[in-house]
Amino acid sequence: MTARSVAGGIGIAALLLLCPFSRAQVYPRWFLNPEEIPCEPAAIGVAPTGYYPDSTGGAFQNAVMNALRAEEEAVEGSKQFFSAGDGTAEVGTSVHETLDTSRLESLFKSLKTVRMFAIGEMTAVLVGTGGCGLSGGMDALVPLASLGTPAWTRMLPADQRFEYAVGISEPYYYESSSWLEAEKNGRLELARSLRTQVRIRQRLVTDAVLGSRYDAVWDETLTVTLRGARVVRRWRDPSTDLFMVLLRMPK
Amino acid sequence: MRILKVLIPFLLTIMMMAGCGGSKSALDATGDIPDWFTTPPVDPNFLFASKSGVSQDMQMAVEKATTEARADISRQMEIRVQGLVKNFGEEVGTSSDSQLLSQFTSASKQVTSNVLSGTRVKTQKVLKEGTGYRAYVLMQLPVGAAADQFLQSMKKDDKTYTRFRATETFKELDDEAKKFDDFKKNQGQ
Repeated sequence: MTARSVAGGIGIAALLLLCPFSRAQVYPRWFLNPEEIPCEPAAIGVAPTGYYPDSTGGAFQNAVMNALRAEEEAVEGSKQFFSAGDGTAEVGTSVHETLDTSRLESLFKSLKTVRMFAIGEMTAVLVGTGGCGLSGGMDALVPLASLGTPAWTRMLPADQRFEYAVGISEPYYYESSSWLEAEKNGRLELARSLRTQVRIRQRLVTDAVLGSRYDAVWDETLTVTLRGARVVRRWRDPSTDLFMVLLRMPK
Repeated sequence: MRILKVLIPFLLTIMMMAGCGGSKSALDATGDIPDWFTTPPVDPNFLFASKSGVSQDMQMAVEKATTEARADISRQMEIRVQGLVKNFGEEVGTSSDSQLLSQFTSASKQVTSNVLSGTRVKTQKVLKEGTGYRAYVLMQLPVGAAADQFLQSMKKDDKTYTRFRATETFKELDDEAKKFDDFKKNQGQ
């Protein structure tokens, strides 16, 4: 064992011990707090980082689609659950979002990339009209560990001028997939809070062993149009690694 | 020297596990049941339902909990309106004003058509449970929103509405609707 190999071993050990710090998440403020972006229309899109032109192009396309969604989006569908003695199970879900894509071409022409940011395997793009200027503070890189858990992750804001909803996603392989899933879940929850038709069918079941219980089928039907719904906050919980977004829509 | 040859790889492995093995998080905690789940808030201006859902998929766990909570609120609403209809029937009598009773019953059916507007996930918590997730959800619906809907429906017929205004049931609904208005004003709506 030479002094050189011992030093090498210590170096490798130091690198391994630094692993937790390499996982620290840092995002620009405009990504975490889109509410503070001082221009309209503006939207953020994400995509997995691959080859340079594909990543930014994918994120730009997603941002333009989000700008279109913010204008108007129809959410329709239904889902059914069956509840019996052994728990609740999903029977079927068919909920889809519909966009008026006739506006897409003009949005592609009018929106420009204002900011671009790459973190790990994700590329994020902020799009806006040409005159969208961000102050220096909005470009500040914010380490998530330096922030406390935002209040909106526990309780929705009390400002009743807006309808609010939180979307959550578990971590997926690509970080961008996690944010996209959280955003979609948020939009669906926003639609449900606006108007949901609930139907419940119950059946009394008598069992010699377990006694009497109610089996039930729940059915939720959605036919809602979202207008002006947009992501206003983002948060990735360092302790649970859940991705959370706060959406709001004017009432 | 031989001991060192064994010890160094062993220590390196331990360090690697400590450094890159992922942090043990709150996700590993079970039994962390929120207080609002076991003791839902009591507020005469809101209907509350607290439910939990379990699934291998996190979103499915949340959806199970929210669907069950909305179904519970829908049932509470139905029971509440059934009580109102019963009281109203006793108050006006079945034969004395059949037109008013019929209008009231029709309005009650509209309110209990199980179309819920304004249900909100007041708060939620997601925990890891075994290899899956458990989601806790507290859903709320302002009671005054239903009362408001009831009154709007009754207003459609001026004649019966004038007679309805003289009843105790109207006062009860009107109080709830006013409280709901105040709530909206306080919230800056």
